[in-house]
Amino acid sequence: MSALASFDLLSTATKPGKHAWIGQYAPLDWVGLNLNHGTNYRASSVHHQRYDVVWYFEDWFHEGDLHRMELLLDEIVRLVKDDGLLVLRYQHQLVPALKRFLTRRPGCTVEVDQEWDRRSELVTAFRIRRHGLERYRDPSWTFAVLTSGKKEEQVLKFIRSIRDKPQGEAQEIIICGPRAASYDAHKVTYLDKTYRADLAEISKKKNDIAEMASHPNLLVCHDRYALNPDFFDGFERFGYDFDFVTIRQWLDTGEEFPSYCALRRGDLVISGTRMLHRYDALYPGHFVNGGLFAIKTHTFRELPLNPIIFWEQAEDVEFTQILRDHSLPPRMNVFSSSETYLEGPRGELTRRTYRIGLPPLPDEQVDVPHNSPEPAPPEIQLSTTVRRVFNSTEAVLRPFLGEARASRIVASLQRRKKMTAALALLLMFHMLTLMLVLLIAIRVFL
Amino acid sequence: MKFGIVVGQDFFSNHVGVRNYVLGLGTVLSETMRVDYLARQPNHLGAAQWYQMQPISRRYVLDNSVAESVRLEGDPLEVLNAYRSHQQTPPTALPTIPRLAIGTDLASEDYDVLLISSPWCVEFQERLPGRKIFGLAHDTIPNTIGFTTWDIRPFSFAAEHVRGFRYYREHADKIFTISQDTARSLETQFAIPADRLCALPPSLPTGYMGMDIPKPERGPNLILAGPFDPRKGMASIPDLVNAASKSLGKLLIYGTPRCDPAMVDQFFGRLDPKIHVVWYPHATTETVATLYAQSRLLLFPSHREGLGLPILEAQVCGARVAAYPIPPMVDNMLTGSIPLGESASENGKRIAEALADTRFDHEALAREAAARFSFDNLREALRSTVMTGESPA
Repeated sequence: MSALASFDLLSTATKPGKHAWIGQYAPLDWVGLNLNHGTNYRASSVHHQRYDVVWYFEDWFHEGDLHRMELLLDEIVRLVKDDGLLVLRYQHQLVPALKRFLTRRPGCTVEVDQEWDRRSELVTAFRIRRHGLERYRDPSWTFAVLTSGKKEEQVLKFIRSIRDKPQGEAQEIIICGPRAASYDAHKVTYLDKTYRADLAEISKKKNDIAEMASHPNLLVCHDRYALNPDFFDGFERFGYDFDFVTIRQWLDTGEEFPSYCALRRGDLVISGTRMLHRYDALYPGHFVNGGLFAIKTHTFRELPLNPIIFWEQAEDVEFTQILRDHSLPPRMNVFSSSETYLEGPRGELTRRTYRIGLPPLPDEQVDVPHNSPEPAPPEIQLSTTVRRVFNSTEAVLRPFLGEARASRIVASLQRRKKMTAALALLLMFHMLTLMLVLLIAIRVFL
Repeated sequence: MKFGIVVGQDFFSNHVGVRNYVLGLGTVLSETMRVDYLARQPNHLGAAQWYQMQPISRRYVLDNSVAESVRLEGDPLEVLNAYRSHQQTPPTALPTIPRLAIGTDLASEDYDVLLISSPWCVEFQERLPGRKIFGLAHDTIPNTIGFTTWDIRPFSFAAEHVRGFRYYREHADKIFTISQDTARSLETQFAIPADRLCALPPSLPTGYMGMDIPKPERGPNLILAGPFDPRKGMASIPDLVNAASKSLGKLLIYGTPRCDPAMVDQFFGRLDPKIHVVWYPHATTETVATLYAQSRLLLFPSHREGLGLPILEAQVCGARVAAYPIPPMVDNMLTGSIPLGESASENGKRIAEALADTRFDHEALAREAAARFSFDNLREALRSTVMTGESPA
């Protein structure tokens, strides 16, 4: 269909089959599905692979949607059957971003069935063919844990957290690390390859795990995790139509450990990590904590971790970026969770992560205000004597400068710990007062 | 089996007591079946789309969404001032409630049972697409309170109850009530046939499930449960406490105000200034249990309750209960309970005596309550009704 052809979608709209309307006001007798109701825009799993035609037409993608477009498109594509149509309305500027997303995605073949371009906006009906969909319905798992052998109890706890659930009995468990008799009772398999001792080759190990895994869903984690009882039920809700996803991670103190994160910088330069409490947008530098992630085995094999990025070299950041480059954005399953253990003080983690919020994005949809106020500046620890000096300085300054200004000056000196300056000011004003008194005395008595 | 609990959009942020009860039912049911919390959002035409919600975590359910306890302590005015300062502190942001979009097609979710968690959730007229529809009724207090008090007339809320109860009468295969008293009210006030009503046995909030009840030293302390609510006898409390102040160790309070701030000021202003007060405006379940376990007596002078959960909680932690001997409270007042009467001075005297009583066997009371309010009773009632449709004997 040429771009100049007269606009006519009626034949598509009247196509037999199941139609889903992403939005609130379905104009025909179709299923209405407002993805804003789902955390991370997730639809209930009954909708996945169900529709002959999916319409994103009531809303439209525009520049302001860039931060959420990947997540939304990822979900919308998953609603389409093995061969179906996706009708999108979008701003002209987004053509390369949107078409790149759809065509560079592995496991999909995309063609344009019809397109109308009136410069300001486009409507395209994409024919989407999704391949190997059985892998996106299969609920069987391979669980793999990387261990140095020092945390046998915790590895055992991880194994039990799988085996103790009815759904966990038949799943595959791979141990990447030293063998232990205590694991053997739980029908585990070992990855017996040797790795260089001088380099922390976790990326290579994880890639080898993917080669070894025999089930379509693969969860890889380090030896400080155990699955929570909600894990399998959570994936029943979330569904198995995903490629790359993380779950919530809780410390035993009840604090949340960052799993859906972003670097402060978005350019693959290591910088501070921010835990994200909102799941409706992707940021530059967005990544899934490599301590635990779930991925389709075949996707991992096609797009492996970079083997020469080692532990603590942000291999997870680069990996997430590669998957995003292939139109597989990181997703968040908020229905499943894990427990994790940290050595050392924990309180700091919560204070640091809960208080940090990224700047709000346009059109944001949040359930809970994430932008808690900035933490109060830390109270300055001063000895009693030093505090007295500052207090006296403020008292002396007050009659000359007024209360507000005196308080500001002293607070500023306190912050910078300028004790000498405070003393100098104190002395100077004491001297001035003394001189004033002397002058008055001289005038009075002489 | 797939069980859906229909809740309001504000379920995770409002109606503390109802949420506590419903999460308790959900937790017991989820031991044997999948339980989803379902809400709906209408567009401006009234056509609605559904979505599913889940509690953030098990800890969140156990503590009924309270993130952390907040303790204020001192004489009454110090505590009041501390509360005013605390109000300035923004609460810790809770993580996002997990949600899934369901859309217009609830039928495809294929629920075996849909339980409507409260009559005010009924913003629809059609029978919902579940194989069975159950309703949950908490009480009919909003429907009748306007006829017996001068100052409380929640007619709009009452009308929401009427709409819900009519829907239950029309469509619900079974109607759970949280007490026998509520079942009787529905039968007499809304003509719901008795054979469709099922009064659930009194049961503790979920936070007590599997909890080792704390055992701190018990002293002559008096505890108040959510007293800052005019419907819970708030106005009478300061005089009753003052009358017992000579025998009183500490006055322990938990619960956030649900009244005009001036009434809170008045409450503390009327307390004897010598009384040592400990107030938790926000308390986790474990904190609440510890407070009960430190107390000899719960003072709960409410005239109207759907169930009166604090009475159950206090006794399972070994604290005696002083409450009015009227249904449904009286049905759950166990050994050592102090029935309040009309005379304030007589009530004060009885409270003082109970606080001074060192011979009372609080452990025996805790054991009696644990057996009476066991989760097993609720499990049995729910399972037999949900699985077979028959009410428990």
